[in-house]
Amino acid sequence: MTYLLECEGVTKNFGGLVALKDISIQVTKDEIIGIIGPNGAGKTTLFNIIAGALPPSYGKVFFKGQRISEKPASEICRLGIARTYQMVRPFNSLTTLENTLIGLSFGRINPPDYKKRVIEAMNILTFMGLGTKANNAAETLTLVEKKYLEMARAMATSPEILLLDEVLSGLGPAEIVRAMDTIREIQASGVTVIMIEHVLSVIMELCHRVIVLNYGVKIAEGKPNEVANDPRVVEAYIGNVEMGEQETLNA
Amino acid sequence: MSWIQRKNLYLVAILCLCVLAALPLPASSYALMWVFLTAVYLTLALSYDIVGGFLGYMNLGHSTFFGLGAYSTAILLNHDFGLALALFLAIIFTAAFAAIVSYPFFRLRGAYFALATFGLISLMEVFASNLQHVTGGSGGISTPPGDYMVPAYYLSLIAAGGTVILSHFLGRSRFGLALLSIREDEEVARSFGVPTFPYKSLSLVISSVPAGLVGGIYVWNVTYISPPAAFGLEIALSPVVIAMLGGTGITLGPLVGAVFITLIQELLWIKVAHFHLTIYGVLLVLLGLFMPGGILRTRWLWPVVQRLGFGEKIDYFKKQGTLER
Repeated sequence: MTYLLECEGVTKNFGGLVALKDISIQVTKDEIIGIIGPNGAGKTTLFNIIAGALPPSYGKVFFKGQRISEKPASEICRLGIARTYQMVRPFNSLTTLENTLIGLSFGRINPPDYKKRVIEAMNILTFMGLGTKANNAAETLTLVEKKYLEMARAMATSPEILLLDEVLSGLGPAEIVRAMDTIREIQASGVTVIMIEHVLSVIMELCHRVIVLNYGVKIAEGKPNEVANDPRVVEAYIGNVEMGEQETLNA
Repeated sequence: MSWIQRKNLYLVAILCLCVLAALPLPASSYALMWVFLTAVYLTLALSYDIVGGFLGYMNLGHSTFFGLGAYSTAILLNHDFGLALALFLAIIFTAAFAAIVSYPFFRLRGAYFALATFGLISLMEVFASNLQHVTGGSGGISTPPGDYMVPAYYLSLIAAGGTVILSHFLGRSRFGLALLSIREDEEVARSFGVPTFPYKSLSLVISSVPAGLVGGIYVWNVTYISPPAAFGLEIALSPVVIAMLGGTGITLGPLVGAVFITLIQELLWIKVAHFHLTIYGVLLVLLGLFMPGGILRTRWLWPVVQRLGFGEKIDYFKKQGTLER
């Protein structure tokens, strides 16, 4: 069986630093996959490699059985993998609509007719709750709106896989609930979602499968509640429990 | 202010065109020459702005294309080619040259790109001065003499008009949107499917065509071109100055800038011949200080520009903090 997305022994070195070491991941269609791990674990680097912003040092990435790890980012986007950025990076002086139109004009499905593109872009913006902001410059949006714009722009490329890099960080509790609904709807429309997230409650609730990275190594993978109780994961996040107990006893 | 509308702008444009078309009847050749040069500078500034304004790469070597167009037209005219064929071949040559140099140059960004392109014109000037048997060396090259003022005048207007239309439609096309996205953030543009490198190359080729064309028309009319006239500092910087003065990234910007600059230069030349360059320099400094986004982006004109449907929704230059001092 060919997976929708498959990373095979992906390794990335930045000089002497090993950011990712021998990562293998298989993704099937219609999943929501969470990638968690402490800061510097290599989560965003993994996204950069899948989306083609960085080439892997070793290893291969396959999308529907086709090797994509040598292709430029623009081509990977046209094949159907879209991403958002952790630090929002909209095209600041362009309007919200124009930002979305870029995705629509160069994504997987790009309607040749300008009017159709605008209508489609407006649909996506309305879906993301940005319909009234279509003619505002992207830089005038609030952080929450910019996060939604990132998603709108990515969805505009009609992706099959959507890579969400911490879209929920910086949002308030009520906004998180709304964003979770949005992500569920995106997934329901037939898009496979891979998300990096620090808000563990969201991961527990949304994701079908969780992958845990620590210092560039995949230390656990499985259902959210399995992973949460995995001693290696607890150790990575909180530190060695037994050591801690011993220290308290000695004291 | 209700008369400020798109359709009224078209009326004004048509009126201007009618006046310009009828001008050769009453006007002196001095006036024709002035309009001719304005049209040449306008074409250069507008075509520069495709790369400088839309794409956001400051191409200081844009006049390379002007010079190449001029030199190749001159050489072809001297080999008994007809004007149309000479211009056509000159454009092909210029565009091919742009395509070739775009490959190394677009591996650079920002100041490095600007410096490298600036180096290109110096290189071309050295070539033009030293390839004696092809270019006539530092003495320049003459073309068959004759009175071409009126046809050259119309040709330059057509070239300028064509460039205005090109720039206008480029600004609203899918290609133009891609160029803007590259200007804003090249890496993000790439990750949203914009093939950045081919598009950058293509934009340079497109911008080289009008420049090469007016170079050819210029040399045909003036019947002489020398290395400093083709690749010198003045012709190199004028398109940049004009585009920035009028307002980069908007079709109207270089249009306003070109008319303004040539008018000022001419007036200063007539009124204060001795100090005209001094006053011109001071004026440019003042304009740069007080209108950093160009004439169109001043507080009074920007709303009008937007009302006419030109320009971004937000002031591109405000973002960079140059307007807020």
